[in-house]
Amino acid sequence: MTEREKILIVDDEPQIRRVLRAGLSAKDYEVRTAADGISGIETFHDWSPDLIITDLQMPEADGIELTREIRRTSDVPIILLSVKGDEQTKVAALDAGADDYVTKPFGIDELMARIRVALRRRQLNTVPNAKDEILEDGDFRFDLAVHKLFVTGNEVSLTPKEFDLLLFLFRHRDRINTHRAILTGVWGGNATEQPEYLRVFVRQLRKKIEPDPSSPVYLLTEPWIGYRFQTSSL
Amino acid sequence: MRAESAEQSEKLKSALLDALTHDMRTPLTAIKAAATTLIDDDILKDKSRLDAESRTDLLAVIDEETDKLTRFNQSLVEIARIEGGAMQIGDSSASVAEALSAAAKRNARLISGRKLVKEIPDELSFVRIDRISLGEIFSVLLENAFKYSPETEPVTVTANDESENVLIHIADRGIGVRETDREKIFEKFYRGVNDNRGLGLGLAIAKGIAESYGGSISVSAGKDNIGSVFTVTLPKAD
Repeated sequence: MTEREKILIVDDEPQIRRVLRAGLSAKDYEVRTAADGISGIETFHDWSPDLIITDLQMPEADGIELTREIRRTSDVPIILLSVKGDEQTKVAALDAGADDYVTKPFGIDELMARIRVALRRRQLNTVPNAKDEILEDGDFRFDLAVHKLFVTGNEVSLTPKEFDLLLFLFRHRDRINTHRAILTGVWGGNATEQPEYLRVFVRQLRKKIEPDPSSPVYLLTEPWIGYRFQTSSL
Repeated sequence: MRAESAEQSEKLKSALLDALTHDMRTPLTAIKAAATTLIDDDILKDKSRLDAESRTDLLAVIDEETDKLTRFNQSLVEIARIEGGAMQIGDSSASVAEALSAAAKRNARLISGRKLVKEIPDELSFVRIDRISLGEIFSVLLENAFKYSPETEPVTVTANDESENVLIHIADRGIGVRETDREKIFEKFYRGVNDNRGLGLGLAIAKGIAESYGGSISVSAGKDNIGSVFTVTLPKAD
């Protein structure tokens, strides 16, 4: 039997911890819980979980502080439990390094889908590929030596900047990337105040890579937050 | 007077709506996550995935959280009624001692086995507020006082007339409210750093009610800097 993956749940509401512990244990994960950010960080160091699910608003260290602290030493996937209409806090937590969020109230299936994607991303990231000349996943194949992109086997012609943007999104796929993170990653630190850049390039990219640019399946918009890129249409 | 009353009514309505969305979310999340776990295909097909104890626990969470929502709903109905009646502010008057007894009765389960000391002078003036509204304010304050203090410590309620007002003090020997939190705890959504048990309509609503009757609520540190004293100020009835 393979070793079970370990999930740490950090939430100040005891009933949420009880439910998630039972639900995720039933799905073959090993689960531990913490009631606040500070004990969450302690458990993280003692136990080295494969994934962390944290509430955004907590007494003591909140979800943003927890994310910031953990990102100093680890790239373990972090999923936030957030509330609708709190976009600013979500963006702050995603900018601090969280991978994804689920909006309360959520079904266990929705949370499971996010967990699977985040764990899959982690496995992909552990395979060193930074120096590889061919990057391939799902419907996408990048040939870095000749700066070429193939989608479902067909070559797609991109401008150098479009190529850089898509490559950045590919390397940060299956997670939410905030406007700021993308602008900084692709255009550099001075570009963060110009999200309209990004919208223009995303529109161009969609025309080239999406089967139907008006209802994208690869490059998805997260309203007010940023973009999520996935390599297959799920 | 009418415009002021309408403004207060709007303030209360907005506080209620915010508290409603905020306080309902945790029970709803717990119920939704528990129910979707219990009806999950994998778990239904393979019953051994969820042992009997966990299954019972999930059902218990659904039961408990539904009770919370029910209590919450009852409070809202009461407050909506009060809000409707807030236009006749001039006509209503209430006895502090009676409203306090009603509030204690409502929190009987929480108070059971603990000590509530009531020092209300017989000659205390009536206050200009609907008695159910006053009961609601006391209920919130008593619930907090007992919830956030050790089981061995009493909660003491005292009251006195002071010029045009009646002052009611609810003192506990509990975890207290940090000085920097003393204004903020009355804000919508705010929970003090010591608070990981926040539930219910809370202080924002109690303050909203008090203010819509021309009163106020404030908090200070208890004797020897232990616990808190919540002071409700309300105008005397004519």
